Amino acid sequence: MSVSRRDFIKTNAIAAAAATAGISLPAVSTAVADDSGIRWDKTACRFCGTGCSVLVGVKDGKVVATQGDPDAPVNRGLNCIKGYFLTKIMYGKDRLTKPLLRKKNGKYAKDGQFEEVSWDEAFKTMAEKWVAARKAKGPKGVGMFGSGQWTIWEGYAAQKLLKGGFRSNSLEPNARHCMASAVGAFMRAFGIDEPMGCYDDLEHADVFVLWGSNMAEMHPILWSRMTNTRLTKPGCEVHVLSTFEHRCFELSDNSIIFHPQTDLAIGNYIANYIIQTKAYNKEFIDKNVNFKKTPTDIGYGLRASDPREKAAKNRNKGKLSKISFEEYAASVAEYTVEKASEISGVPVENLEKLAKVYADPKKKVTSYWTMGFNQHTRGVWMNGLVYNIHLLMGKISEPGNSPFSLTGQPSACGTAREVGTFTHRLPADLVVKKDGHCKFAEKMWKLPAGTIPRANGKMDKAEQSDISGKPMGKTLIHAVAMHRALKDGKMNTFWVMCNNNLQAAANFNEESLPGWRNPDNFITVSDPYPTISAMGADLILPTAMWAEKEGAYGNSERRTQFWRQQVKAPGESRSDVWQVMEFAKYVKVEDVWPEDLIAKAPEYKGKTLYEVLYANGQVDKFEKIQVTDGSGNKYDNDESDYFGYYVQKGLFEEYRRFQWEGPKKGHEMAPYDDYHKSRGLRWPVIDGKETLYRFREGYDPHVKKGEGVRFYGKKDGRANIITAPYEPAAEPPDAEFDLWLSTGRVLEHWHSGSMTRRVPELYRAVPDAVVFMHKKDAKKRRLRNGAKVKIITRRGEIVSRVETRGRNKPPQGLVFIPWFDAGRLVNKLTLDQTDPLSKETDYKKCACKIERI
Amino acid sequence: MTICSLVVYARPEKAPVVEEAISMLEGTEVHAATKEGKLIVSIDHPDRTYCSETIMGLNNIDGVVSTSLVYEYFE
Repeated sequence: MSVSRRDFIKTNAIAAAAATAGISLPAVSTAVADDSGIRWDKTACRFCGTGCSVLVGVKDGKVVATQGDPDAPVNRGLNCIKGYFLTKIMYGKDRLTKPLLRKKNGKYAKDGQFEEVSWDEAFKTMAEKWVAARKAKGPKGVGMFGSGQWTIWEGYAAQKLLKGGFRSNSLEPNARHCMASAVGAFMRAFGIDEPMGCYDDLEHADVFVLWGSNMAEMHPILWSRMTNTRLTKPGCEVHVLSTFEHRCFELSDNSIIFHPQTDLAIGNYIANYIIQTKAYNKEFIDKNVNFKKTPTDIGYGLRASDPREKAAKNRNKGKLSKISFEEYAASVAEYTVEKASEISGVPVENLEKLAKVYADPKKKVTSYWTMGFNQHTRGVWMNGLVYNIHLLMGKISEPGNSPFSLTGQPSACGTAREVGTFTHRLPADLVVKKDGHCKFAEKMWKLPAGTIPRANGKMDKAEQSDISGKPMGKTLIHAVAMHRALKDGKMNTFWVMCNNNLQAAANFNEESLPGWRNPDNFITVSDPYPTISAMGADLILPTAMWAEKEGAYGNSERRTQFWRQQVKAPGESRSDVWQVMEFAKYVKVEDVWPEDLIAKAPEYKGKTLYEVLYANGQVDKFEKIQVTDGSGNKYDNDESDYFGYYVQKGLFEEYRRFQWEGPKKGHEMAPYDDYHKSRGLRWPVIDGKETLYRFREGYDPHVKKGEGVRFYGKKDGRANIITAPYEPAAEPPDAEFDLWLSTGRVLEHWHSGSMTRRVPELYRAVPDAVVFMHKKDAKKRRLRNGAKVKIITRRGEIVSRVETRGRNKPPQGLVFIPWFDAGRLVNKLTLDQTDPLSKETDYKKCACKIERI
Repeated sequence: MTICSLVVYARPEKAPVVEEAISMLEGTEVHAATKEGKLIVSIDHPDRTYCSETIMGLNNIDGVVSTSLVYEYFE
């Protein structure tokens, strides 16, 4: 390389960084991008829910350069360390390139060895198992476990296959483990899912409160925007709450370490402080808020046989009853600062400092939270407590005043939540509990009424008939219950796609592994790599990932982003959307629908699910085109080539009808082609215009002139403030298991590490999961830093090493172990407890002991 | 060769020390440092692995609050 070219690149690099940081460097000229045969195009990052746009440079079919996208409103040219290595995730040495089936003597065998097979043999074997399980065991006999990393159309295609094709509501995303509590609280408080604010709050707010969110490591780009505001805006404050000290505390103006589960007491204390000091916004409350009471003592989402469940007075109950403001005020009155301090272990002055910023009408406050709230046996309650505080003050739905739930996956919002790939949901916030919603979906999908299983198995109050010959019965089954059903032999086929659930699910030893290896069950895993889940499966399907396909994600701030296929996938690996649609060719309507249903749609007789669901005149209506960008660069689209029509566009446009023609307004998206031209758009998108703040006049087109604020997700336009007292955790430490165990993530690895552990630099940086522990706790057990130890819970044990000087600094009585490490499976230790309302697992609180080896 | 650029945020009171610490690293230059603690940094090194490990190491320098990568070129 010539010196001048090197200088040119370097100058460009420095100029880009300076421009991003808002610093002018007079000596550096802003050079235009050079042209050395590299094709540049935008993509959405494949990791967390931030939704950064990353420019990818491709030359000769390989990615040769990346750049944070300077035109992206989310990351403004910045990239985090995982984003830096984004393109390397496709080039791990052990990429799977052929379907693999467990076989013995040339035939499928549960105890066989993996052998390469054709896609045809893979799908034939799988279809045989699925059809048999569906017939024998009813709608819960089959199950699919998808992902918040699915592209929008992948989730949509799967939604159709399971609910419209197999007539089964056994579809769940891994997002159940990740933000189901956030969804539950949104629906209860606002009647519509997802945050009202957006990332612009990162510059607008005066005060940021992080509740159970290690944003510095999990959302580094949002963190850097917040850091910029904190360092440059006079009077800006950052408050950080956690059960242990982490990187965010380096910027903290009010550092709060509380005992696990006691955030409930802190949330109620702040509400009480606001009421006692009469700081609340009476006008706002009178016009926009209802007060509600929730049943208490609701259990911990464990198996019904568990003594803790038997003892619960109102197990799994969440029905709200109306109360007055005075009754609500009385319910929080016991949470004085002294009491909150006593329960939580947080000094009075820190609690008061926090309460005062929320109660100050002049301060704009944005609250952020992630897994600390969501992975909580009272997760819906805890999310709700923050809405209570914001609603009491009217600090909501305007720039800088935002309660904001952050997501951990790139399309937890776009796919899992918006497409509704949960057991109880349909696209655009519709639910299978409502007959009318199901009928609308059936109309959209050109299916006879009664195809989709209702939650209670009844249409128009009559039993829905089923291929099993038995009544459909209750059809909902959530993620944790799926593993239990596999263990109990009630579910016999399970397709895990685009996630690593064997590693991710709690209680590996007692529930997950026995379920997967139950000889009655046939487990399929689609993945680019041989993960723990793949190794635990019976059939492995090699998957085309991320930029190897045309895709779309929806991030935490309701932004929908598209990308084009940049490169080819290796070997015979195929995208998830291809897999779902192609598999549908192997199942006939007669295999899964009863005669009386087919009689309602005789044109479907003898058809495959593929023909009914995808070649339906809607999904296949857009002609295959040569994909090009604005500069005329050309891109592949392998799915369109294979199926013969523009697959992604067809799926998206059919999905979009749910938003525009459905019974629930407020989810509207723009036409397909618009997204390829933009850096994403925040829905609702009306007349080509995105919405930054929902529910407020002037920002949200659904709020009429003169209405001011209207929470239109609820019929009366009012949001709910809901009671939620402090209740203890399911498994607190005791004399034998004397420490709290909390699990979570680290900056260098993304979730289970199936991608980031294959990037050598990231692997070397953080190779193994260690036990972060307080020095005094280590000393008490005669452990030095780095000592090898056994961590034991009532469910299992793992071996790791003690870390007393690391980036995470737990208080005495608590240890933290990351879950990315396939060699040290922390979920052998965790308890499969869930929030009884959201069914989301609590990975943050169980009791353990640590022994020296 | 790999060339990359970064924006580093440091606690303002520690920014001068952070700037010095970063400047000492092989292949690394600090092009600007503001009073609020923003630093513009480039790394120019033949080895991509060296660059990436240096970037990750920046987070461990006392006073660094946030490190973000802006541009990378490698061949």
